[in-house]
Amino acid sequence: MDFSKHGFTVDLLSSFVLVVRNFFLLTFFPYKAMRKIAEGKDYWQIGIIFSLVFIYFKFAYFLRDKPYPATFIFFVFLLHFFLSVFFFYFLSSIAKKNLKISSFIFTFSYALLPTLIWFSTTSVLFIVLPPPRTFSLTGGAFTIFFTAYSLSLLAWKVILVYLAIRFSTKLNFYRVVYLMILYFAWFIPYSVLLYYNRIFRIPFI
Amino acid sequence: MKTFQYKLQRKLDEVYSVESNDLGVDLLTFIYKKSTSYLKSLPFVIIIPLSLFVAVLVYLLIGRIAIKVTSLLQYGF
Repeated sequence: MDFSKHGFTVDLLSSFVLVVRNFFLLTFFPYKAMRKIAEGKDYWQIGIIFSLVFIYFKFAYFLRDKPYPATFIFFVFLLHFFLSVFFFYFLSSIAKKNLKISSFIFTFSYALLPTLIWFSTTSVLFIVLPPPRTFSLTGGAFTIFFTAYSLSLLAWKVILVYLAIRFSTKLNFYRVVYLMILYFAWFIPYSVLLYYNRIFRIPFI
Repeated sequence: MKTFQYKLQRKLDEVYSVESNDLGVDLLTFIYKKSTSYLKSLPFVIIIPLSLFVAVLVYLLIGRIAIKVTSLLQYGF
């Protein structure tokens, strides 16, 4: 079979398979998976993840009340994604030389997966079980389920973000935690700004 | 043999791409390595039961507030 004629399609399909494979590896073996992802070179995978994010924003546009256009929200997301990447890259370059920015882009892109899953499922639940929840048995049961689900994804997110910073910056535990504290020092006010401008209620990062 | 050696070298480069964490105090390093060993592989085996336990505890302690927060979070997307 001659695949050279269908190079673009073959590349895209194989990258999609790799994204799915990495998703399962990050679920079951996050440490080894993130270590491998940090050496990634296939930018189609980043394109696929960003496409999934864009599809989500298009979907959420129809559920929100008087929203901004999905394309605008997507560009705001790209802005704070690359701000985050460059923040960690430049600060960690002070301590370590010869860091590759591609490691940051790959690891931080894959660390978006828990965020994407939480936002997508919350959007679907908004249609299937619209709020508000009542003070009944079913309301309480859903509260327990949703809280447990959100906490699980949050824990997974924290693990992936820690691993993303660790494998891209190659810094030790204390310096990674220090970088995260510095990051939140500007990211929290920035998130409040996004909230007051009705762009993101919860920051998509 | 050369292929095996090449693959082994690549694997070793990958495994040793970061230095092992040392928290400065032996006890802290031990606690860190012990706790993270459960999170490196199959973390959801720990995370899901723990999250469920915390969710039930939160509901039992501050049930009405938890329900209101859940309603708020559902608008969070």
